[in-house]
Amino acid sequence: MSLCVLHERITQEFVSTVGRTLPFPRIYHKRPTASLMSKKVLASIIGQIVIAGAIQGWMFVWVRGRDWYVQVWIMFHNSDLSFLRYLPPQHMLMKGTKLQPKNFENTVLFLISSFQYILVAAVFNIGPPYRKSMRTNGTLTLVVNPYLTH
Amino acid sequence: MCLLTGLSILLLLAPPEMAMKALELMRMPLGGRYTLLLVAAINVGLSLAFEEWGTQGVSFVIGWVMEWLQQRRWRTGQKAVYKLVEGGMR
Repeated sequence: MSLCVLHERITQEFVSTVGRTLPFPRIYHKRPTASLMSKKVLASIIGQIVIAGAIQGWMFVWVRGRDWYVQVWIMFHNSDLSFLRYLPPQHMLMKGTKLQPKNFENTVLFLISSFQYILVAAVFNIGPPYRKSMRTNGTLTLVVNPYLTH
Repeated sequence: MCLLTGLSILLLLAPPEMAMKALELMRMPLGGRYTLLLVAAINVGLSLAFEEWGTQGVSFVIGWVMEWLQQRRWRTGQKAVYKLVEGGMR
């Protein structure tokens, strides 16, 4: 399963299961924010996007500066996939080359974003006093576990 | 939550060979993996700190922008805006 497909599936299943957290048994005296476009909700979303984006951008640049970093390219000859090679960055613009999905950038971004998925799900899970804790959402745990243990 | 985080840490620090192949991950030095773990921890800290202290400032800015846009709309007359009438039209 490629990383892009896996990311897409994790996102979809997070989205579809995160809302299944049950309501809190007692009603709280203050009502929750009803509008999705309220200032508080927007501020939270924008802030989390900026933080996650900054971290991912930093990791992308960071991994490229490591001495163990190798740029991985697939070589194409006559439009047919002929062989797989590891090439240094100066060959980046060589004609007939194409970036391979299995590379350090993807690996680093996948590993860091697997934490970010959980973190963002936790941040946007309101929890008490309006909903039960995220821990009680069995569907979410069941759905996400197979991917992380895969 | 702890279970999910634990599994992510396992995948980061000691991924099984089968998982590496299935997820098409590259093998990284242990130092690099620890750095990623540290960055993930920084990310958690930043996100929680933002939720605690940063949202108020950002929501103030958003409110200011929304108000400015509303005033602009009023002035340019792009959209019908209804004004409260004294006595409530009685």
